Amino acid sequence: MVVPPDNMALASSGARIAMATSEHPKHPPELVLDGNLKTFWMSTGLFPQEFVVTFPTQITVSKIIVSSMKVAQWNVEASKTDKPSSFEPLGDQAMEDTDNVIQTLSLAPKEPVVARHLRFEIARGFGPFVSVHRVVVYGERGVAEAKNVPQAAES
Amino acid sequence: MSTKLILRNKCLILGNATVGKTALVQTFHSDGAQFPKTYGMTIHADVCVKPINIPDTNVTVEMFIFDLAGHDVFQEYLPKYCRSASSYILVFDVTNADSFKALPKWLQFVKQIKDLRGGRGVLVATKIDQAFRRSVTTQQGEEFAKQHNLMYFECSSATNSDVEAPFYFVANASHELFEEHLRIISKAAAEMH
Ligand SMILES: Nc1nc2c(ncn2[C@@H]2O[C@H](COP(=O)(O)OP(=O)(O)OP(=O)(O)O)[C@@H](O)[C@H]2O)c(=O)[nH]1
Ligand SMILES: [Mg+2]
Repeated sequence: MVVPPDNMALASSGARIAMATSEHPKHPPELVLDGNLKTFWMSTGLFPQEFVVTFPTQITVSKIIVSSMKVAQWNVEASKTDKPSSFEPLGDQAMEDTDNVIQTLSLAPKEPVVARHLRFEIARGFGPFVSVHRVVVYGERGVAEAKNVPQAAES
Repeated sequence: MSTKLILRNKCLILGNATVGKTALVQTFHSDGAQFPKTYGMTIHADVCVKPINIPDTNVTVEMFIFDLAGHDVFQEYLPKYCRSASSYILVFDVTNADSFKALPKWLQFVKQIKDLRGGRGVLVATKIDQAFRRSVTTQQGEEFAKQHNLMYFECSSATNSDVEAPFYFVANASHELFEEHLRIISKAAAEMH
């Protein structure tokens, strides 16, 4: 039986924005977590720009898909700790300028990545402002590989 | 409802050494309280932040002003301060013909900054209080600006005259550019499914 993978990056399943470098009253960063491409977070000037998505518990990330406009360079990092710190690179991608058509970042880490927080950095844009419409994170709740490794002393 | 919107703009200040870039920025930044009478050469770059409220809106443009060194020895270091700049103000000194002749060189420099393409530049003539020493006329300044599609302003930091105008222009243009991008993106987003 094939179970469609769950999008972990939905506000309705407990994901939230821990921080963002731009805050437009009508286009706040939370709109990347509503599963809707029509709504979006708008950057309000300068680069780099970033936002951090926090999950209710640790998840094991298998794939990330981000829909945006005018982004030139994505850098994505993951943090396992309770507080959003000690981020480690998960993947990066230079994007193409698709003009005013949606761009899709697709990252599938070779090894599953455990994360409590994901940091999405936009290092550069193709214009002064960028938009991010939807973040989709496929994965599983908890730490998938936990069975095989001795219980780590993680607090 | 007073939901405030803060936009950010990185503005480069460019031009020959001693034309009065630092004086312009500091006079503007301090609302006229601080005009540096003695010359202190800018080393690499100085950065300051100044919020500008856009009239009749809830919008504030935070200007990140990069006051760049004009001296030749710093030329090679300038590009790294220019990344992701959204606007620029080109400065010359009306008592210094060489600083006016150097403008094409500075425009050439600006052309190499990818992020600046599209935005309209600003040309500022300084030290107009020194009328008796003036060697570049208003007409010459205006003509150059027109030829290169720059907005033209004249000011004196020493007498605190008209130093705000170029910055207000940049802030307003930045707000308009933002609204235009927002409209384009909103339209494209509405057509998605
Ligand atoms: N009379 C007069 N003097 C000015 C004016 N603006 C600047 N000065 C003087 O010109 C000199 C140079 O000014 P700065 O602002 O330091 O020049 P700068 O363009 O920043 O020079 P660099 O940092 O070397 O690139 C200083 O002695 C200032 O006092 C002005 O509007 N009128
Ligand atoms: Mg200076």
